[in-house]
Amino acid sequence: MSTSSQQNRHQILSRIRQGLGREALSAAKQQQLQSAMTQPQRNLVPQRAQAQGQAAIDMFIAMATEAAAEITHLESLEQLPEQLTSLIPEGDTRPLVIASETQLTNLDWQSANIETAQRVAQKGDLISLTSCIAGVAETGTLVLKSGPNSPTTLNLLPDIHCVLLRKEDVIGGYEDAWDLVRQAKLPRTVNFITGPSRSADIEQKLQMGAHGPKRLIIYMI
Amino acid sequence: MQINSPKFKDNARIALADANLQQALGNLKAGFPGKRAAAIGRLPEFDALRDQAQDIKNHVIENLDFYLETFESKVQDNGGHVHWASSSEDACQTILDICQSVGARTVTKGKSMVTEEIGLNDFLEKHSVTPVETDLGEYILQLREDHPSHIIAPAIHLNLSDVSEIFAEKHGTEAKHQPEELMQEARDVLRDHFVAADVGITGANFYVPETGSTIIVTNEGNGDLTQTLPKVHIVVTSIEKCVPTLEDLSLFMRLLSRSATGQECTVYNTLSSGPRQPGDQDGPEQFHVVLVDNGRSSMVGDDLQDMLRCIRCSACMNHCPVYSQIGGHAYGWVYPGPMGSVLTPKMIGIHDAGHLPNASTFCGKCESVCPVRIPLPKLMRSWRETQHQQQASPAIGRMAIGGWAWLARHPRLYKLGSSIAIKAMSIMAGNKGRLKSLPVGRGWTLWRDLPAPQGSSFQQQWKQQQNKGDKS
Amino acid sequence: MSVSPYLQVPQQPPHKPRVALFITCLVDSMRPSVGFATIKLLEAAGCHVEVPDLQTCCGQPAYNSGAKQDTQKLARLNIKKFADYDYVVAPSGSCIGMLHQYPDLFEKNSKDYKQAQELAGRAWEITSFLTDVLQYQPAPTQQSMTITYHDSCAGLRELGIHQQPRQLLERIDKLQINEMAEADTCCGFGGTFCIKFPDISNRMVSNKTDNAEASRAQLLVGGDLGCLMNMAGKLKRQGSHMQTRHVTEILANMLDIPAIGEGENTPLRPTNSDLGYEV
Repeated sequence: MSTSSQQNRHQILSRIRQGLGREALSAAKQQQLQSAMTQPQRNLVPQRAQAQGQAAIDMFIAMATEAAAEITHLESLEQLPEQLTSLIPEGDTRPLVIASETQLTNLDWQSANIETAQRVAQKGDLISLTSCIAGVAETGTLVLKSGPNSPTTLNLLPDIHCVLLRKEDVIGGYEDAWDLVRQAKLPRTVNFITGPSRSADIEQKLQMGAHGPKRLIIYMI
Repeated sequence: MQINSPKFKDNARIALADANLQQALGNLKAGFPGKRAAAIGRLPEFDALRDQAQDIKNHVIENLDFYLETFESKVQDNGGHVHWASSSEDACQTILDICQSVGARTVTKGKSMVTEEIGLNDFLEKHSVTPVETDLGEYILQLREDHPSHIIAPAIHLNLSDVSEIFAEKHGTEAKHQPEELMQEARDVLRDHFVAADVGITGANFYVPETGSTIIVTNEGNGDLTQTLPKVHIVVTSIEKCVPTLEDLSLFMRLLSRSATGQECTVYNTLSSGPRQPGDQDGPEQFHVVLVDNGRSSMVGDDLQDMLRCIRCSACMNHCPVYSQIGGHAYGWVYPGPMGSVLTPKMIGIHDAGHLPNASTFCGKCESVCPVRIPLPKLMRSWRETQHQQQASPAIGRMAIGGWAWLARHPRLYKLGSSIAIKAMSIMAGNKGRLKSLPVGRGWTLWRDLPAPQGSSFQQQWKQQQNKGDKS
Repeated sequence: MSVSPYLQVPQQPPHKPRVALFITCLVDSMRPSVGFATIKLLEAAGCHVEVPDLQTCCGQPAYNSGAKQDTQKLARLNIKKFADYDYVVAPSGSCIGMLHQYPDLFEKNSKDYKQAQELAGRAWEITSFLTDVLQYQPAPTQQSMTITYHDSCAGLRELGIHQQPRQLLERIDKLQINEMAEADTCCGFGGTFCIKFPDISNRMVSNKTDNAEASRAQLLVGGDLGCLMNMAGKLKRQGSHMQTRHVTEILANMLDIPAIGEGENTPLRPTNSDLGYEV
């Protein structure tokens, strides 16, 4: 930190304390606030976000669809390559960029005649395939973490983002998602994604596919 | 940004006469309020969430020093850097230093009102760093050398033809006339910038001390590309944007998207915590947070403290009957509408922004839709009190109010005065029941008739009736 | 501008309550008939009505102009003037709303503050008082007319007045309420606002009268004289046939006096926007 940053820090904190009419908080008070943060209490969780089981799955599907995500139901993971072939235009040789997860890489892509690549996404990529850690029922939101096997660019750069979601990973509310995130070391990025990219910046008319993916396809098994 | 707030009245007059602008503002009126109402109708707990949000934000302000220090140390634990900026100049210089330290020539930017507030783009350009706005609305404005007129829909004052013209001119392409074609063109052009930029600058809707994270909430995905592709990610945010924990963030996510665009959930809610981690194949190598004060710390403990709860959702301006007639540019600086009428005087001085807190009927719609229940009319009134005390409001208005208030405390004189005025107006109105013009109060009769009084005051008539009753 | 915390409805209002009419400066000087209509309604609802002598104003123009000390002085006068009544009632949500803000003028827990709270607890707008406090059910009457109702801001957002006037009006046989678009949007009056920012105010009132006329009503009705004079003045300037009245005039059946801004009592006519419309 530069000297001026340090001076500013001192000034800002002093002014806040002056405004509050007190010195820095006592060690005891700080301890109290710290522990409130380490064991965070939930605020009011709306009824809707407390859904479980089939009710949560139904709500997830309804809300994700409303947000213009597309949902395809699969009997088994093995059906996935076949499903994806329909997305690739005739003669398009661009590879399917997949997250380096064994459950995805082990699939029989060759039989489906799909060339795959395991890397970060690049400009010009057409389709990416990733998994997610959860689907949040209350708003049809996917939760994705960054990591060595799941580069964030896969969620953003390609025109079509395909996401594998297991029904047992559908949860009620955002709080449930944070509980999952807290089970491991916090990653660089956590993406909450609700439908494909969009903008209404021209005359408030909603257009899909602004900078992120134009289509978000959720494969549910 | 140049300050045009002193010319508010002229700005408003011009805006009212601008057919293009009025057409564009119609889109706002037809869109946001109805969508918000529908989304809230589907969440019965919404008002209870607002109460909790208000409490959380008040708690944050009461302990802001603690949360700032905690956030700083968590960011550092995550491998990031925190920079403190008291003023706009400090913030711009800090950002420039970071850019220069990596030899940056171009930076991409996600939409950020704080960077508008500190005038970052002009500053970077002056120092040979090229900023590229990537939010579609902001990008359009940058091409036009224009500024946002709304805090979440920056180009709300423009129409399709404006976008069509500037794209054709600046991209050297054939003019396109469909929104989706224009968006595709911007997508193609900006894709190269995303990939080529040395530094990505975003704002933050919130920061979370629990985890040392910053959060951006966007629909386009530009903010995510901005912060993921370049080597360096700089977050420019202001000190009050704190929500202590991820649990609290959940609550604010529910409030923000519904209050802002009426969406159940904005498309991308992204939590960023530090630089890329060992093994990560993408993400920035450096993560910097610039904490901007710019007058906010001096709002703690003063009459404006409640304003520090603001989460910049724009519900107040979306529902404001004044904003929706004149648009955001009339307010003459970065923050328009009711929230701007409270904040702008603090940031550019009440002398320049004097009209803003007066340009409200106190209809209260802003407060009624505020997700964190900021008493905006009360805060605007507090500016009026400051003006009155400093004798900064027009002398003639102050004298009129003072004289009238004195009269109102002397009922007999008041009665005499009002009976003379009633008589005069009654005579002028004759049998028409209304007046077309008046020697005083021309602001009224310029645009409307003044209904005439009914001959004598109620209190006079009542007295007469009572007296008659006593006699009979 | 949030809903007042002082709107506590008593479990059992006193029998034949002693009510002070707070006439308000605008009704006093511009439209006394609204005062008489209010008294008629209160008496019909079983109240003993008094008009405290030498009333002036609630102080709102000073308060909203930033003249806090002037407002405090006026507030103290009014607190004293209206001290000895069961209730204080006015035909205005705006002025009663101001009385509900009196506590904010004084230091918490000071003597003035407590007295101001006490006054606010007794202060009611007329339609809210009749329905919420007295549960008054007017005797059924008949008036053949189509009206539209403007919700004035202070009444709506400070005192929660929306359903109350409609509830009372709906008891009148053959009276039809055509709700206009944006009935809850400000008409652009705003006290001194309409003088300080005439152009913006004009656009706001124009939107309002457009919406009112589009409702195909014959009569524009509301509960605050300031807003009503603003809207009536605009309608007349535009040459509209739509008439404007205070809600109490209709409820008290005092329709023999000319409507607001009219020189004489003319029959209701179809509005400009729908000349073929007959009731």
